[in-house]
Amino acid sequence: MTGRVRLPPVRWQATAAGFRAGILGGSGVLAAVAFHRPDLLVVVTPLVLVASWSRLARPSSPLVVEVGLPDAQAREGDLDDWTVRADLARGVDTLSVGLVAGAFVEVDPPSRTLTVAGAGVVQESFTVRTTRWGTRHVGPCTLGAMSAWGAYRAGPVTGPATTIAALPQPAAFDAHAPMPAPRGMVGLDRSRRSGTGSEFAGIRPFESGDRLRRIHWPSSLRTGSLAVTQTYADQESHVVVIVDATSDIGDREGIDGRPTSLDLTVRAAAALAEHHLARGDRVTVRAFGATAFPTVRPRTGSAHLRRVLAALGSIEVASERRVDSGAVTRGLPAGALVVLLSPLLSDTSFEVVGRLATAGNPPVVVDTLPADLGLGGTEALDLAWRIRRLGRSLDIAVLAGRGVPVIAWRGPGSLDVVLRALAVRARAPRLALR
Amino acid sequence: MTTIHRVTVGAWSRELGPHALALAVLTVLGPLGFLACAATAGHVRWWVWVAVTVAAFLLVEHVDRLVQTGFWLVLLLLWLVAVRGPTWWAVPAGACALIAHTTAALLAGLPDQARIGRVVAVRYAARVGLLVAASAVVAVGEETARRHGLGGGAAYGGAGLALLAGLVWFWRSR
Repeated sequence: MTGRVRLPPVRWQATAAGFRAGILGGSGVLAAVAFHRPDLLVVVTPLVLVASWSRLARPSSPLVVEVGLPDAQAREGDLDDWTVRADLARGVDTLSVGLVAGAFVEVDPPSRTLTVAGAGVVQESFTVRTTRWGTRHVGPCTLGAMSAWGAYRAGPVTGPATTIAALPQPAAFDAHAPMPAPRGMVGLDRSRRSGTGSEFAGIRPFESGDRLRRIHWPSSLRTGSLAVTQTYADQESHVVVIVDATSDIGDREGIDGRPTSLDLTVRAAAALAEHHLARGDRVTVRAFGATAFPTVRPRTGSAHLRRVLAALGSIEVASERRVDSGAVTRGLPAGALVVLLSPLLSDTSFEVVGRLATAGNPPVVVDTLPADLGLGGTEALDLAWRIRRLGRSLDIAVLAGRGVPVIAWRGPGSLDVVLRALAVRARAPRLALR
Repeated sequence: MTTIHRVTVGAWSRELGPHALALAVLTVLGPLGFLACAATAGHVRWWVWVAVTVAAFLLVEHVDRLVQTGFWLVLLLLWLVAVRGPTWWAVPAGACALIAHTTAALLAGLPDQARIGRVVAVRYAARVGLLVAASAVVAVGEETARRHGLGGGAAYGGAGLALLAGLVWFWRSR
C-alpha cells in the first residue's frame, strides 16, 4: 500500500470491564437491599456510578481512521510524517496507535496513546525515517480506542503496511574537468567546434550569414573590413552510468553507518546523475546483476533525476549469478561518457568492461569497494579476504594496462583527473586507415 | 473542541512495560486492600487471605475476562459474611474495589508497553476520587439517617432501589 488509506469503520464492543461494573453494582445493590446491609451499598456505590457513567458516555458511532504517508517517495535519511487521522465520536477516551518499523526504517515514537476529550477529528503524526535506499515498509499499524472506564472498546485493528520508495541520497560530488566528447545541442560543455555559445574562440572575417550582433567593431575599424567574434558552441554530453549490482559486500548499517559496496555504488551513481543533469547533460542509467531494473532512457532535467533515483532505489541484488553482459552494453551511443561503478569483485564486471572497450566506448571504471571494509571474524576469513583483494588488485592492474582508467570513488573531484586525460586524448590526432 | 494530550511512548509488545506493571500491581493490591478492610471491620480467616492472594495473582493475567467478575462477586459475598452491620470501612473497601476495577480496565485496554502519562493518571485519579467521595456521601447519609432514627433500613433501601432503577434505565436507554 502506498499513500494514505482509510480503514473500514471499527465498531464499538462492550468489554468485560463494563460488564463487571454493571454486574457487581447491580448485584451489590440488590444484596444490600435484600439483606439490609447499608455498608454493602456504600461498597458498591462507586461501581454503580462507574456502570452508569460508562453507559452514558458510550461512543455513538464507529471509529473511522485514516492512516498512511502523504508521499510514497522519500530520500533516505529524510524525515517524513506517518499520520493517523481519526474521526472520533463523543465518548472516546483514549486512542492507542502502535506502528511497526520495517527494516531500515526508524519510527519515533514506536507507539503512542492519546487521550482525547470531546468529539472531532484528531490527527497525530509519527516521524518516519528511512535509513537505507530501496523499497521500505512502515507498519502494519495497530489501532485501538477505549471509552470512559474502559467499558467499550473499538479494535484493536491492524492497518496495512505502507510502502516507501526510499531514494538514494546522492553522495557529495563535483567535477570541474571538461567532458571529453560533448555532442548534443545545448549544455554547459565547450565544444571542439565553433558555433553559438558564450566562450570566446577568436575573431574572423565577416561571412555571409553571420549575425550583425556578432560584429566586432574595434577590429572592424582597425582593419577596415568587417570582423566577427567567433565562439565555441555550448553542447551537452551523453553520460551513461552503469551500476554493478552483482554483489553487496559489507554490513548493511544504513545511512548513519558504514556503507556497503552497493550503498557506495548506488549513492555514487545518484551523485553522478545529479551532477550531470544539473549541467544539462543527458543521463542514462543501466544496471546489471539486479533482480529487475527499469529502462531509463537518456533525458535531461530535474524530473529525469527523480526517475533515475527511483530506478536506483529499486535495485536489489539478484540471486541469479549469470548476467547477460551484452544487454548492458548494447545500443550505447558513440562518444558517450560511460562510467562503470563497480566494486570489481565479480567476473561479470570485467566482462562488461571488455565489451565496452571492444564496442568503442571505453568506460571510466569507478571502484566502489569501501576502503575500510573488512570481513573480520575468523582468521581464515581474514586470510581469504586478503587473497581475494590481492586477486582483485591484479585484475585492476590488468585493466589499467589496457588503457581503461580505474579510479577509487572519493567524492568531489573523483573523476577530474581522468576526464581531463580523456578530453586531451579526444582532441589528439588519431591514426586512421584509408 | 477536541483537545489532545500526548501520553505514551513505547513499543507495542506482549511484555509489560513499567507503567502496565504498575497497573498490574494495583490490580493485585486492590482485592488485598478490600480484604484488609473486611478483616478490620469484621473477621477473616487466614486461609481466606491465602486464597484471595493467590487468586489475585493468578487472575491479573485475565483482566479482560469474566472470571474477574466472578472473583469480585466472591469478594462481595465475603464482605457480606465477614462484616456485621454498618461500618466506615465500607468507604475504603469501595475505593479498593474501584481502583482494582479501573486499573484492570486500563490494563486490558491499553498496549502492554504503553506509558501512562501524567494526564491519564491525573484524569483517572480525579475520577476515582470523585466516585469515592460519592460513596462517602452515601455513607454519611446512611449514618445520619440511622442516628436520627429515620429508619435506616428504609432509607438505604430506597436509595439502593433508586440507584438500581437508575442503573437499569441507563442500561436500557440505548
